Amino acid sequence: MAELLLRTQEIISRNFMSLEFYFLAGLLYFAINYAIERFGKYVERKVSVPS
Amino acid sequence: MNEFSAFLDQVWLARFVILRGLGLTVSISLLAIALGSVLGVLVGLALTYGNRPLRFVVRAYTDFIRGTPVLVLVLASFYILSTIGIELNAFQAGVFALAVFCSSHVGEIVRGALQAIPAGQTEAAKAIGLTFRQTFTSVLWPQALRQMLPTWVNTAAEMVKRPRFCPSSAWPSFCSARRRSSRAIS
Repeated sequence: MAELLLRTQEIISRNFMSLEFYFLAGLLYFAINYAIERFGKYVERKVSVPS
Repeated sequence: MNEFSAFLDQVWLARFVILRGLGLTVSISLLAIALGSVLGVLVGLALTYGNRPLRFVVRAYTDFIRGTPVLVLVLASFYILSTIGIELNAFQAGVFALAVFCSSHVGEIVRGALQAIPAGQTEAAKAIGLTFRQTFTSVLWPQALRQMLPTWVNTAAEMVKRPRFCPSSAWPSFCSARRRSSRAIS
């Protein structure tokens, strides 16, 4: 069992492209967090009082 | 340009490894957020409307969990629970520890949101004869939800970055230590 960051470190240990793969991992984390943020905004719109 | 194509080549070679890691991160964090949010609402309710002994117990739980590092919680759910006969695998231990951690944070968010609602709202609900359940679901929760959503999103985003503390394949020596400790105790 290995999550995204550990998998990234495994890949880096094979090809030594540390900066590039950490950047890719950062992008993937950003994508997950952006999806959560959009979901939060969607729920906020749903529960807001219409003005 | 050559370096970038070499990088893309490496990404393509490692695509399944990356996708497996991404899938695990997403599943652990989403499960932890969902379970932690449900438990957190109960914690928030107990902190706001519970009687004195219940408030004391839940306050101790919240403060203890919030003040404990996630790594310690993961280690505790992986090793300590096994000594009382609850054998969780690495995934379950990770989800359990993160859900407990998330619940203490969500509990405080819910408490803050509920306490920010003016007392007049509850009094008005009582005046028209609503029960506590009706008051909560129809009057308090819709208002509290609006207040707590931005902070809840913040906590959820934090939870996505926490699975790095979960038990991994790099822990085989710990696993055997757990088996030894369980055997020694029993």
